[in-house]
Amino acid sequence: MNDPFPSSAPPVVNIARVTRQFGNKTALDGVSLVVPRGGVFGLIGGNGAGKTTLIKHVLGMLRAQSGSVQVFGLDPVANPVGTLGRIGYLSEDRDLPNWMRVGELMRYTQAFFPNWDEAYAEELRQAFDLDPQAKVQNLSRGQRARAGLLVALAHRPDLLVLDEPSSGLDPVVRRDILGAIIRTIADEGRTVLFSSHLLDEVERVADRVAIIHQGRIVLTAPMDEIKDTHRRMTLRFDQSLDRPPALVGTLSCDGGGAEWTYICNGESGQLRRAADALGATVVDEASLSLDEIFVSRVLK
Amino acid sequence: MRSVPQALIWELLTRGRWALIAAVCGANLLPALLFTALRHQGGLDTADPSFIVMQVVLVQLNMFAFGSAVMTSQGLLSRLYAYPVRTSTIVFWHLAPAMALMALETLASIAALNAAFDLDWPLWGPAMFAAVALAAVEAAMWLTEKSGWLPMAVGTVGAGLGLWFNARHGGMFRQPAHQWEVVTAVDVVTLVLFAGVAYATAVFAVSRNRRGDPLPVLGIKAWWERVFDQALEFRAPFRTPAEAQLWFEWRKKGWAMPACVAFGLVAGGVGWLLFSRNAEDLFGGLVAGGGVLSLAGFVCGLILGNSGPNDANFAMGHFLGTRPLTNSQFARIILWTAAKSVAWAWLLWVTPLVVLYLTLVPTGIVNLPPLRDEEWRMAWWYVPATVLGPWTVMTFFAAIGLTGRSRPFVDIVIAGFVLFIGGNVLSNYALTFEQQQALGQGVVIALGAIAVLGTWWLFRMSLRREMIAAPSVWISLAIWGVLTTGVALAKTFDPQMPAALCVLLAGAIALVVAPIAATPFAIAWNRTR
Repeated sequence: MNDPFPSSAPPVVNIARVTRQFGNKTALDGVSLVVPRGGVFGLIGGNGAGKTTLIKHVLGMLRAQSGSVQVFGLDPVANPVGTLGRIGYLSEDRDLPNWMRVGELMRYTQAFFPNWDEAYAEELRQAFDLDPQAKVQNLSRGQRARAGLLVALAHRPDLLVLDEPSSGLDPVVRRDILGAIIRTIADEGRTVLFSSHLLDEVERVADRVAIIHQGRIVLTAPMDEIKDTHRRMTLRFDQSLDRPPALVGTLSCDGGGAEWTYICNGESGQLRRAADALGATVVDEASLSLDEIFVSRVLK
Repeated sequence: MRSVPQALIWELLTRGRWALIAAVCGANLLPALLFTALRHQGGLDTADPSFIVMQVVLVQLNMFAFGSAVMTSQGLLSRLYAYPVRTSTIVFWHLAPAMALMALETLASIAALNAAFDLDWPLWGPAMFAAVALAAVEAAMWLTEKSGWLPMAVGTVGAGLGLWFNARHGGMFRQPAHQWEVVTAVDVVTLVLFAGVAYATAVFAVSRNRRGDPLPVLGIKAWWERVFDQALEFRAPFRTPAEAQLWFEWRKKGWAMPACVAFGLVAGGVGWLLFSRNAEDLFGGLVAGGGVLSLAGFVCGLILGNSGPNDANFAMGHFLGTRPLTNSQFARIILWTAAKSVAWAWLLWVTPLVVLYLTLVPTGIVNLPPLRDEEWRMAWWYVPATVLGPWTVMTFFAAIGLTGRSRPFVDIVIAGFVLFIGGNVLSNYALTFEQQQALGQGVVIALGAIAVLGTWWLFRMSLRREMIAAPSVWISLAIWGVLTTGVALAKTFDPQMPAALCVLLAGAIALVVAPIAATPFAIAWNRTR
């Protein structure tokens, strides 16, 4: 596999201090995010965290009330052709014209993208088992997602934006096809930005992750770094304690008596030194899954 | 809740409390204002035959408004399918409280109007009819749920009931001649029969919907697609994005207006065959059809202006919003589709008219007047108006639809309606006849001026934001100038023509070109929120 972020080229997406309010609700609160060129960028967050709002800013469907958004160095609102012509997008709601046939959808979409690869489109159609004569309105939810994915991929976009791509896809398609496609695009040096709340999926394919919670980015880092710097550490103290002593980088703590388990943000060595300083013995240490990191971060 | 009836009645009243109250107020506001104004002017003569027509129309409007609110308040029936309740129980307790509400509201509204304006309108017949009409319409809706037959079924049932109601006032196809004063035993039996059929149909339909069975397929849609849908493999790729988007707009929305006109011509032709067969009526009907084109333009403009993901949502969806097209390109495509749509519709209307004119007049079968004959009220402007009218109405409402926002426009319409009615009522009390005339002229001039200035502002802003190019502005200005010169010439030839009307026409002509600047604005407002 290639280096996930091989180039020092300008970022594909550069979001700076973007704030968005819908009435009294703050959907994005001073969000800054950089999506580098190449690799898979996972945007994770719970329902209503602001993932789709952020993606809509990238697509130019929402105007930043404050701050700025640049995609390929361009403002997507002012220059929709320059940005959207290089983006493949699969929306969360699978918004496709119901009255079209699958073949018509392919023919129609082809017109907008000079890089449309007919052979690849046909290959995808067959892999997704889509009948070109079938009307979109008669497709099942999963088939609809596949049709949306097909037209998002077939022009080999520089940036593929997938909003909850797994929703409606069966496990086989999700794991084998979607995963393979995402990796292929990344390996070709192109960029994938995808949002999901299925963290095992993100963990499997993403090179870099941003966690968004209540409209704020609470963490953004390469996946390996996140996994290396988040540890679960169980400490045993000499005597029973009512409350756990403070340990540097603690995100959450659970336990009782003389034995307490910490979820911490920090290097293993650094955490062990901090435990020594407290007079505690490390009885267990493990890395965390993305799911555990996410929960500890958003519950912090 | 201790029982199904209790739960359903509670849900209906709770969910619909504001809608039902608003519907009662709204349905009674128009007659109340109308009769107040008439009484002030001394025109409230309940013995006048036109009052019977007014009664029939207003009572049916009341039923329509309140019935719509009741149906909205009931919610979808499918939410109850998973509950352990018999279908007949669901249907009965869905219909019975709604029918009771309809009857009560009709009774109360008519009684209130009778008390306030000494109208002496009959109570019981309309009240029973309202209840049964609701049941029949709901049954038709459930029978054709989620199918293309729904508008036809509801339309047929509604028209049938309307004719029956009209017949209680003197004749099914004639103007109402008397009140429905006595509810005869035959009327009661007929209404009970209607209600019974509606209930049985509703139970059958809901049972079928509940077990997921589709409507029997007649194969019309499949046949239509087989005949009119060319095979995909024979279609060449689109050469440009604009060509693809034009295809999209026409296939999805553009055909609606020619289809409306074709349907109107066929329906009118069938009606003429059944009820008239007089050549002069046919010609007169076709001529009048030119005015109806603008009405089709209103409906089809709203269809064309919907860039949302479904019929109920005009906010631009992800699919269209992420097309790599500029807002100006989108706007040009929409306007081009509108032009094509109006052109086809106009050709469909004018072709039989010209053929009929050329066939009938020289042969002397009928003595048809020339186009400028006063009797037909055909003036020189009628033919161009049949093109410009539908274009203006269609693009105006398409631009409103394309904003994806209904609230500001609904507010403007309501405010305008209230101002109009309120202004009329107040001016009747506070102003002399001459002052009222002057006020009316002032309002007309103001409307014309607002249209001209608003259009000028739209062009200025569009140009500044580079949504349109300078040649578009000059061409639009030239069109407005030429047409307004026509109005000025007409004023020269006809000095009786009021100056206020000239200003209003200049404003209306501005609206012919306004969509050129308004459409890209509307799309930008919708696409990026």
